[in-house]
Order: sequence, then structure tokens, then C-alpha cells
Amino acid sequence: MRFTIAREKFLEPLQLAGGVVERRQTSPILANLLLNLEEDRLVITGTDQEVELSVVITDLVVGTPGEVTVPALKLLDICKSLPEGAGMSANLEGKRVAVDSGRFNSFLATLPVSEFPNIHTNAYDVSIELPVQDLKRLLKRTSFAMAQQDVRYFFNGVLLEMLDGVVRLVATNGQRLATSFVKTGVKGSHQFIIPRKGVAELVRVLDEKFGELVTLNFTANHMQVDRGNVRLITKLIDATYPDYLRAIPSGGDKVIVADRKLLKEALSRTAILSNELYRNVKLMLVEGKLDMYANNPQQEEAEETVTVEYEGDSLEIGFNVSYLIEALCAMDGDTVRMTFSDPGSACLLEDTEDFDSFYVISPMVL
Amino acid sequence: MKFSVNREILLKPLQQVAGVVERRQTLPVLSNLLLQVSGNHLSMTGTDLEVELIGKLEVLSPEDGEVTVPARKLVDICREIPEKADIEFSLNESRLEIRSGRFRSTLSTLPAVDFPSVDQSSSEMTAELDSKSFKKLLDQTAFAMAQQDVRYFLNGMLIEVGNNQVRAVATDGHRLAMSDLVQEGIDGPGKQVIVPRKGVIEIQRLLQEVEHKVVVSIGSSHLCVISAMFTLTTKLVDGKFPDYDRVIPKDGDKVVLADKQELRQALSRTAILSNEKFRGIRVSISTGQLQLSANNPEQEEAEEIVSVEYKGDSLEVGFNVSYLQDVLGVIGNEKVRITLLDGNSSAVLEDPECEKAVYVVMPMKL
Repeated sequence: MRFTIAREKFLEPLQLAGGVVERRQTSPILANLLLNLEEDRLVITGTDQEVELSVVITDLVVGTPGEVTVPALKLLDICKSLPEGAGMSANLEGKRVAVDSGRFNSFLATLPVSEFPNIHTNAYDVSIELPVQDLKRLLKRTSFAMAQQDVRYFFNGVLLEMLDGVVRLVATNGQRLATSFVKTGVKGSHQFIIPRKGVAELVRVLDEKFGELVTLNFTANHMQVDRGNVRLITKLIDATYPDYLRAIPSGGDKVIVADRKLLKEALSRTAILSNELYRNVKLMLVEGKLDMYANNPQQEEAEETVTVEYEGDSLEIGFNVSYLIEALCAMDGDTVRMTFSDPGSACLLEDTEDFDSFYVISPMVL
Repeated sequence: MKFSVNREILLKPLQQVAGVVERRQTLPVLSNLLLQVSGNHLSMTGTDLEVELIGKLEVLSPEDGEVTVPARKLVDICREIPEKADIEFSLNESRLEIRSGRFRSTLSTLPAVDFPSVDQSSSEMTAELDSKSFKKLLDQTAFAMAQQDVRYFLNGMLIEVGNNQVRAVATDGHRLAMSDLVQEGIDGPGKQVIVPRKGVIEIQRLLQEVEHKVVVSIGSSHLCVISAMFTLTTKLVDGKFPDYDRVIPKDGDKVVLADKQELRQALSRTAILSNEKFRGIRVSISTGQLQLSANNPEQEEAEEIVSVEYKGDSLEVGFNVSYLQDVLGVIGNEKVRITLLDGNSSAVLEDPECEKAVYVVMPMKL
């Protein structure tokens, strides 16, 4: 295997494919990138066995086609540290790859290509095409609410649901939920759970330089996204997602409308003196205002009053303040509507300018 | 105790003072800041028993008194309060109440009498220094200090004041950095003190914020850096610093003049394939060129040739590449002069246009 390429052509693909490679791996081959050189193109692939990302480079001088795997981080570091505008060559010599540029010569260790675990997919059953802007927005509104390393493994991902001409994303960790949808011409009804890492990599390939539309292709077990010369394949979480509709509170009769930024800032201040572990903050609804209060085992306390639009009975209810702040950060509008019913029921949050998203947060007993 | 102050006046000095406070402390009161109001001045003190920083500023509607409060939380609250807002502080029994607009909080306190003060020794020598030049002096040498070395006197910096100059020397036993700052009016023979690592870092941090002049005052067991707003006191390390003059080789006869940036980049490329733990790199000089080579246990290797100005015998020496990179990182010129003697002798690195700073790197067996 032998090729010659300009540093600037090589660097970004290496960064994209190398980004999937985990710092600590269960097997040495997962620290390597697969370089597959054909007559006129080079395919660079990185994987962590859950997510695989490959980039095709066509603009290079191919000497001899072939395949090899090399340490991802070292190849990336070498490419990065070469001067701008430099050319470089890679040449398989025995079991090592010679990487040369100008008066710099190096040899990188390789591992057998046969050990490299490519993700094998079947022909996909379902495809949807979306404007990139829409998918980015859906992800911003929802992905923060995923769980992290939860034993209920289906919570460690985002649900993508297609139903009645609507694509909806849902994320929850069991205590709070976020969902947002967009109308498309999608037919049939399907549910797929994209794992946390797949979501993160998806965001990386949504750059608009790859086009304003994105197609997501699904098999029962995989999602594949082709963006320009980049292909992302992620495994899906094989599980039934809980019925999110049941989590959505109905019958709330206490509705407040507040300035989103002011509310977020007041919560951030009050949060400082909440219990560091539970992060609980008490909200008190009174006509025309929302009082918030937090204290901690050191007997420290903080309170603040925010003016809101509210007419109705008083209510006292506790929440994890981080959940409130994160939901408010996922919105873009100036005002937020919060709907409560009683201290034991979840609160519904909505951006007053966004009719397609909402957020549910379970209360905490204080 | 009572006072009122605008957030913008308070926040920066508060953050500066709180920066001295360690995340983990042996005593609860060490996570607190001492606040003292006397007349219309507020004085804030943070300490870790080795370094103490006092910040002073003018406040409004003051009432004398003193108390200590948790540093981290106080900073967080003041930072989260809206820009340009006024903040009122008042001590009620054993709680500090903080109010701003419709936000109110109370912080736990510990008695001011429990707050440890760093004992002062009477000043034996003072020097007025330009803060930028002083910071440059420290920046040029601090990287060579040891970290948690059993030879505790190496975990700091030797400061020598006298003979119309201030000299800073740091070494970890493998490399040494020395720099001089000429300052007319510093009479008498040199007085040598060792400032501990944390003291050096805090002085650097303080000098970043101070313009114009600072006064450095040295006592038998303390060094103080005094600006208009801050007083930093650091304990001194009681030990004998190695005779640095003996460490600096004077008989090197092989003088190499290299382009700093080119050499630095070649080093960082070659370093990628050096042993990750020992970081060894082989430097070979011969007429007109300097060759770098490195290899690691995975049988990977890298080499690069850099053109340099050199005439003389060939020589091969091994070095820790990080030590060479550190030196090139602080040299301010486009060129670097490297003076060598033989394969077992230290290298002397210098800025060819500024003889004020000298760097010594010991060789390593490869």
C-alpha cells in the first residue's frame, strides 16, 4: 500500500474518523484506523464497535492499492504537527507503515486488517430525509435529557419515532423528559433508539457544508447516515422505549408565563445553596410571582422572587434545579409557560414560541 | 459587619483572592475567606497556610466587623448576580446575608478568630519592580521547578535579590532554568530565598492582574509581593538550593544555531514516536545539520533533519524531548543557540540575543 497526499486533505478526515476512537479501548485494534486504498480513493475508518465512521478521500496519488490499520492518535498527531501546506506519503514496508514528509521520516506499527471489526449492516428498510436545520433543532431540544450509564439501557439514547407524517425525538432519564417533532412526508410507523455516542457523532456530521438535507437510513439494528464523503453507522439500542405519552401530565390548571432568561438566572443563583447531592429547589406560586427557595445541610439558604404572569391558587412544589435549568437552556424563545397541578404531579414546560416541543419534569419530595 | 458594593468592583478581586483557596483542605476554615470591614475598606483574605492573599477595596455604607464565609459559594453567588448590580452584605448573628435585587441568601460562617494568619517576619530587604518584567522573569524559569520531589527545596524557585539585579533559578535535577532582571538601586550582596511552587504560581497569577509596579519584600521566613490592591505573602522553603553555577557547563565547544520554530516543530513531530514514559530523543549534530530520532517499544520510529548553522565534529546526545520543548516554549527569539561538549555533558540553550536567560538540559542514556 502506498499513497501521497497533501496534509490539508488528510487532516480533517483523520480528525473525523479518529474522533470515534475511544481513548481507552478493550482491544488494541480499536485504537487503530483502517486505511483502505483502492485505485483512486482512500477510505479511512474508525470504530468503537458501537459507532463506525468512515471518510472517503479521492484527491490523492495512489501508488499501490492495499489495506492496513495504524494507530489513530499517532497518525493524527503526526499529520497535525506537519507544517501547513506540506505533502506526505504513506508506504507499507513489511509490518510497518513509513510516513514521510520532507525531511521527516517515521515508521508506525500496524495490526492485521482481518482483526478490524467493521460493522456489517443489511440493506436498510426505512429512510427519511430531513432538512439539517430541523434535525439539529430536534437534537438540541431533546438530547440533553438522555440518561448516562443508566441500567435501564434504553434511557441512554434518544428515541426517534416516525408516525403519521411526523418525526419525533424523545429523551428521558426517568425523572425528566424532552420531546420535539417536525412534520415530514414520512410514511408508516417506526421507533428507533439511537445510543448516546451515536447521537454525539451524528451531531458532528450534520455540518451544513455537506448539504442542507440529511437522510437517515435504518435497519432493525443500525442507523446509517451518508454526508458527502462521510459515512456514519451506529448500532441502535435493541429495546422497547417506554410509552412517553404516559409521562405527559394532563389536567394542570396552574399556568404561569415567565421570562425565560430571568427565570434561568434566578434559578442558577438559588441553586448554589441547594443540597449539592439532591439539588432540590422549592418553587412557590403566588399570584403574579414565583418564589424560589433552596437550603443545604450547612443551614445556608437562598431565595429569590421572579415576577410572572399567574392568577390562581398558591402552590408549593420541589424540583431538581438542574433539570429546570437544562430544560430552559434547550429553548430559544423569550418566554416560557409552566403548567402545574399539585405538589405530587410533574410540571410541563413549553417555549411559548415553539409549539412542537415540550419538557416534563417530575417533582421532588422535599 | 455590613457593606454594599457593586458586583463589577467586587468580582475580580474576590476571584483573585479565592484562587488561593485549595479545593481540598485539612481544616474547614481554610475553605473560607476572611472578610474584614474597617472604615470604608473591605479586606478579603484567602490562605492555604503556605500562601496568603489579601485584597482590599472601598465599599459603601460600611459597618465595622469581621467574619469568614465559604469562598467557593461566595464567588459563585457574586458571579451569578446580574452585571452591574449592587450587592449588600450584612452579618446577622452567625450568618452572612447577601442581598441583590429580589435575591437573598444566607451563608454559614466561621468565627474570624479561627482564621489562620501567615506569621509575618520583619522585612530585611525590599525592591520595587515593574510587574511585567517580574512576571516575565518568573515565566521564563517556573517550568523547570520540580513537583512533589523528596528534595523539597527543588519544589520551588530560588530568588536572589542584590547586586542591582533579581535572579530566578529553578531546577528539578534534570534541567535548570536561570534568568536575570537588571534593576538599578538594589544594593548590597545577593540575598537568596526559595519560594515554594504554589507561591510562585500565585505570584504569576497576581502579576497578570497588576499593572505598573509591585514591591517585593523579603523577610527571614517570608516573601511578600505588594501592589495597590493586593498583598501576597508566601512562606519560604527552608533548605539549601543546589549551587546552580556548578551545574551550568562552561566548556562546551560545539555551538549550534537553529531556527527555534523549525526545531520546535521537528521535536514535536519526532516526540510522537518516542517512548511515552521516558520521552527519549537522540540528537545528532554534524556540519550544517541536526538530526532528531526517536523510537518506542512498539518498534515505531521517527527521524527528522533540521538545517542549522554548525561547523565541527559530529556528536550524538540523548535528551528528554519534553525538557527541550519546554525551553523552546519560553525563548522569545526566532533563533536558539545550543552549546554541547560531548555525549555525557549537559546542553546549554540560550536566546542568542539575550544573555539574561540560560537553560541547561542534562543528557539521558538511550
